[in-house]
Amino acid sequence: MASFRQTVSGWFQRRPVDEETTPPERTRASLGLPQFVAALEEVEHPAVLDLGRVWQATVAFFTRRHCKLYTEDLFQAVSDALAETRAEAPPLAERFLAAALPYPEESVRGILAWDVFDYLPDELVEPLAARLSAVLEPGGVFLGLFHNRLEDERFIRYRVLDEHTFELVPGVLALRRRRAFANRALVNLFSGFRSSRTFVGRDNLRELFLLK
Amino acid sequence: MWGNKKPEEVPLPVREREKPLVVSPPTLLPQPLEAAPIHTSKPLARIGRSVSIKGELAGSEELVIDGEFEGSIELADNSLTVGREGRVEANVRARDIVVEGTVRGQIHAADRLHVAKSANVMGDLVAARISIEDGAYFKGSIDVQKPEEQKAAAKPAPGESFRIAAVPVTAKDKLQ
Repeated sequence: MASFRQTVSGWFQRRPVDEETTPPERTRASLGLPQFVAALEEVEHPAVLDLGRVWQATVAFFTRRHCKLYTEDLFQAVSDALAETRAEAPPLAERFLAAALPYPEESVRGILAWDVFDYLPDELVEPLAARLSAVLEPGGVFLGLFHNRLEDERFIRYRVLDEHTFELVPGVLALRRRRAFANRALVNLFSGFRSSRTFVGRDNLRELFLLK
Repeated sequence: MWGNKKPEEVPLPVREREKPLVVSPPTLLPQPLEAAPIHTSKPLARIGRSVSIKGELAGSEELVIDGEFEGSIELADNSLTVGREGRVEANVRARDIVVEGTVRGQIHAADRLHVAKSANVMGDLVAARISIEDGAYFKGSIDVQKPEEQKAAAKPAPGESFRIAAVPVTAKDKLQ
């Protein structure tokens, strides 16, 4: 069973982090999350794609609402894709999307993207936005966070505390925030959606709520 | 996180493994985590740390895997524990499942599924009750279903051509 041994050995190498031992830094009120949840409740047994790491609080929040929750830690996937150094490896966008988002089109009702777009290499931004748009079903919703400034570059994990509140946990991945989107850039990036709303907090973090 | 290793176990010879092992459950069952531990008076079988098995496994007793297993596991009304050193690549069905090690595949627990923070899990999880400790590595889907819902879901709906499955991922899926 050497092949199986080889297969799983990589998982141990990828075992991240001790974020679970870090207490939440603070909580943050959300105006987008109630709308996100309301859109989920319009259908029976909606599929939700969470692009952060798995947290019991987030799992409990969505499974209590009869959602099927998909978890894809895109921050980890970005970190892995950037660490690939083989010369024969496929282009970054190709291997990133193949590894991280193998979902059929129009199969998900809601996507929680957190602030992953702020950390992506330039060549992944548009392909990821297009892929997420394709994965969402018509009527589906997207909720993402976008920083207004680059000054505070600490990597933060987010989890759902309740219908109106996120919890912020200091992250340990060595990811550098690469951009602060202008509003116009966000509009262009997600131009295929039916409507959008932006909520800006005092912490210079924008919530972007999109309806497909 | 990896420092609390259990005392080294002596793997059983192959012939001995074929016999069900009857042991005192509290000595071998996992320690309580956040969820209630599995307590049982049923016979308990164990795949030791140095044992690798490939194939289909079905049984009517509790099972602990500390070695490697690849294939499928069907334990019906019994419990499965994948220990910290356990590595499983299989579709798994059992009443209660505790994962402390590595599992890749579809996992169906008729009642309770607990994923410990030491676990690496890639796959689709279905259970009546699911708890995942913060710190676990998980990629896949989580679906809470009562046992009757699980039975209904096992039958494909009329006209259904596919089910969304995070694992396994085929080359075709990746190209879409």
